[in-house]
Amino acid sequence: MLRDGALSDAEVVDLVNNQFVPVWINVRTTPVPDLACMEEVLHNVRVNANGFIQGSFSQGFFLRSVVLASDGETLLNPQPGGASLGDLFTEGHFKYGQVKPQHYLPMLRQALDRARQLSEERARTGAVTSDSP
Amino acid sequence: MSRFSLAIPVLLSASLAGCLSHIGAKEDSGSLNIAWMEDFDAAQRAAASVGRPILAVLVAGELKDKC
Repeated sequence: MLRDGALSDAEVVDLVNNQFVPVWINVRTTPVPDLACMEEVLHNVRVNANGFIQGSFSQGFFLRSVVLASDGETLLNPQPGGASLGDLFTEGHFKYGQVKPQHYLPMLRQALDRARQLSEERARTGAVTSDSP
Repeated sequence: MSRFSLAIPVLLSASLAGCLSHIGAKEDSGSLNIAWMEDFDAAQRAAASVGRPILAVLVAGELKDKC
């Protein structure tokens, strides 16, 4: 659904290729990144000690899109609250589970705005960063 | 036992494995026009090097899922 939805949209493809470093993580064969922000992203998802998603449902249907700053750790598309069916009806998707271009593009653009803000804040405080779309 | 009854365990197993939802990416799928990396550590290094955010798509399936 994501592949043939948002990720096949020409505008999304251009934005991702020009502004992001895209990485595809197959959770069936690869542990999830060991990052503090994953606690929120993986709310209510069972993960074993080696970082692998557990449960036959998640093994079959798992999907999350996560945007991180160039430091590789800071979450730029926070969607707090955990997954609920209510999100599906009110927002049209689960948290971190956008699959349509009309949901995916705003998520990416908001993340770029946060990257820009983060870069400016770090420049003001003297911290080193290069996140700037 | 009908053929349908015999097929139920197979269909159930395939469904639980997500196979029914994983139609292989077509050769001309637009998603394959994205310059995907498949190693998160390498993506972290690339992001730090070029100063771009990372888009990490965590999904139950291969980039070119043949399921």
